[in-house]
Amino acid sequence: MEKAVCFTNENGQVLHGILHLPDDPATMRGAGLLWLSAGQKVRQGAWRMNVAIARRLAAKGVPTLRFDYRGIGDSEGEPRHGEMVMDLYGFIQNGGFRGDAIAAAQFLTAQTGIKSLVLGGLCGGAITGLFAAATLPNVFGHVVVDLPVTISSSSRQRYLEDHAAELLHSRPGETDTVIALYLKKLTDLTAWRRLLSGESDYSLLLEAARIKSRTQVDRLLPRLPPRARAGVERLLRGVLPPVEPESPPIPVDAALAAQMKVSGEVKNDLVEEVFQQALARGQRVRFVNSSSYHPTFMGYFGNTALRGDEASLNARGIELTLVPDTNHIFSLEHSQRALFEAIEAMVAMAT
Amino acid sequence: MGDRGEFFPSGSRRLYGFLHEPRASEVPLVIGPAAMVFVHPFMEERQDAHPFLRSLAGRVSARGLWALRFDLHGCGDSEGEWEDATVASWLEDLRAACDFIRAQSGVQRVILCGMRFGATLAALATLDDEKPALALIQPVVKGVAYSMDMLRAYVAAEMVLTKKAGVTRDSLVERLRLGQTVNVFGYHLTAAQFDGLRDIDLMQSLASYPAPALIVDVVKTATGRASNDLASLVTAMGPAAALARAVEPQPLYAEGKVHLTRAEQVELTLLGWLETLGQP
Repeated sequence: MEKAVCFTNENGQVLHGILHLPDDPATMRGAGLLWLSAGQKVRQGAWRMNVAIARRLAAKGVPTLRFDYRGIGDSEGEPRHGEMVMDLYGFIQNGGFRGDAIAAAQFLTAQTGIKSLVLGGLCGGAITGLFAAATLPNVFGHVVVDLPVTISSSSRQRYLEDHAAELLHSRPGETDTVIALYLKKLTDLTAWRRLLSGESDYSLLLEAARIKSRTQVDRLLPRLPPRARAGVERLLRGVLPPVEPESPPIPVDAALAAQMKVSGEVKNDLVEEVFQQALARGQRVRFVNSSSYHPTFMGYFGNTALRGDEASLNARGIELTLVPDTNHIFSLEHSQRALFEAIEAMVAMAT
Repeated sequence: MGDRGEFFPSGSRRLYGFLHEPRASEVPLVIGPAAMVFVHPFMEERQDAHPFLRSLAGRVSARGLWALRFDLHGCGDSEGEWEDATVASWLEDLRAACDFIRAQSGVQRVILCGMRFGATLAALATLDDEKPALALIQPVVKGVAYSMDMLRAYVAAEMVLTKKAGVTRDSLVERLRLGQTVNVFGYHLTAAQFDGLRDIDLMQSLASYPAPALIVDVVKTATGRASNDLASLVTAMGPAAALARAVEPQPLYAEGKVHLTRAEQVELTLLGWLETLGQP
């Protein structure tokens, strides 16, 4: 059974949501799920992921609430937190929706009488749950999916837009992704029209192609005799210069470089803080990572915060699941299944 | 009772709607009692268009009209699964939404407003054997092209994930013919839906349209390229149809970089057109 509900946050703003209850009240279990929306997405999530999760859980007797944060979807409040979408992400990554999540958890508990609660969400929903859990008394555990571990802002976004080719030069590992994105445009009439009318900036593609070509050349060069190799190197100088190893992006000016340092290229230290607080309160944390996001997660967080083998992590109430061959929204069938299993396993432990 | 979200029936299903009651916060429109029903775009476009439709509904209700935003079967918060819906069932839902707002408001005159494929559905609707007044924001004119766009989205998504060209659109059509679905960003497109979309050609369906209609072409800049499809559509619809251009800095149904929550030009265009409906 699904009910349209509303409740207020600490500012008195009305938040709208859907409460999923088991059809037979007698089957209601003692644990509930608060599934939190990601970023700017409304409460259904990408591909109605949140609806699918809530229906599965309610069918197993687990009351589940999903709702819109203040200013998003149907809920009251100021929707903007800066000029760019990235600024909204930054707001969320700093715990901006913590109060809404606390209000939702209290509402779910009061409406259903559950004894324990599992919090979870994708991306912005994941981190919002960790922030909220610090003051909630009945949180059993978390399912955090592609937890954002850096801080976003429009200054970083502008840098990426203005200097994408330059950034790629310093991160040759991302070349394949760029080329794949441009291949996609080959079937897009609008992209062709933009190219032919001179509206496109294809410097990024050229840089990607240059790096790719040079990588191929570098594979062949060692097979040549030294003199021939030196000759080829001379010929290629200027056209296909050697690819530098991964290095920090080259800032255009000091002020922008300083902005970047605080806006996106450094770890969000708050993530580790709220994660440690959750563990200290005896809450379990199950990380679920898409393969596309996993390297970022490990680089900025996992390699330091999740040290130890699987057994020692489990002993601390931590689990990490890496879902192969999947995107950030978990839209492929195998990744949907992995997501459902992780949530259902955590809720089963909570009951 | 104020603005509220609630479920209402459509056959054996329940649909979620958000009702905006008329408010006297701005100068009322002079068109008399009326209600406007908003039809959302499909799949992920619905998510990205949500703030704009919410704002539009709010502006309309502030000018004295009832407004209803609702989710079609298998979409948003409504019951059912996406893959069980068809174009025909979505049209039934649209009629149910009109019945619902009439019952809630006591107002008989309903104007339909839709965006993208939601606009297309609105254009295909008949209410009480009559064609309603229409406000169509970037409607999908040719279902064939739209259905192929969906398959292209699948191909592109797979290419990004696997970094190689794998399936083709033809092979996906073949998959549909074998009774399988195609996962378009998590939505399972069925053969029935695919065929239903391909049958749509607004140029034919709306020829000599008898009721007032506004077609809104959203462009990025004042000098942006106008849609030939929409211009041809308005010509085909006849003298009761008007074409308007609205300049918005980014698409209304795709994730943008700037955090916009209202489409100012579209709102002004819509409200201006509604004013004309009250003129003799």
